[in-house]
Amino acid sequence: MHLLIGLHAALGEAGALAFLWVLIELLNPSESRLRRARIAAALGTLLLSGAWFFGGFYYVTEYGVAVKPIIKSGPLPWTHDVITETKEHIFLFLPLLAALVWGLLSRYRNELMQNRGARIAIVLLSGFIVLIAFTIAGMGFLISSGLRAALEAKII
Amino acid sequence: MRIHSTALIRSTIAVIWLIVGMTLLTEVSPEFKSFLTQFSSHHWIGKSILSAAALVVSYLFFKKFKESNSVLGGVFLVIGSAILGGVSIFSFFLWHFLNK
Repeated sequence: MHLLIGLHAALGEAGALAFLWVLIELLNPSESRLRRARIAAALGTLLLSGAWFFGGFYYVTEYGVAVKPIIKSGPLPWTHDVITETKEHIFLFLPLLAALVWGLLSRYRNELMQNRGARIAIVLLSGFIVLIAFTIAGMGFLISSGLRAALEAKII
Repeated sequence: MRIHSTALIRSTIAVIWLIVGMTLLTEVSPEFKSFLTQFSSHHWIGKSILSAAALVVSYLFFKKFKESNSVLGGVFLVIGSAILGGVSIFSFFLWHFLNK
């Protein structure tokens, strides 16, 4: 059990749920729903930035030294070579996309009740953030499985 | 301060491709990886700092242009760039692993 991994995962999942909340508020917008969507997007951006910070801190200070060599010596080295390498870079997209949703909601504000194109754009982008965030959570599961398989192989 | 939606969309697309470019370049050019490491102690931190700086600079640059009415088209380009960029990164590391 590691606190930094727990924080990274919890903040990332809470951030994904915040953008699911944005998506739902925009399906049938009113002034109060749009206000809540802006709050959820601001919160989601902060949460995903936090997940980026704690995940990055763990990756730089712990993972490379203590975890990566074990995974690479185990039966599933691809979980580092392919999955971690992909995850650590795709993850950089998330705070960007989150800030874009927040920016568009702040730019269009109550105009979104009439501007269908902008509303659909934000709905699609929010759904895409949820999808990427949960794909990244699945990648985290694969990386943990790579570590577990390596440790089990050494014990047995 | 009013946010310029087109500048925000274009700078997001630019930074997505900058991340993809830096990721692939780090793997094929030890000099670039070493530059990022010297500049920020770890190549991943270097990429993060450069991405954040590029977002601000490119937003200020694109802000000079007229704001477009087509937000949906711009967002399709953002999503397309993120998918294509993500697939490029995954395919590169898969290819690299299979050819080790």
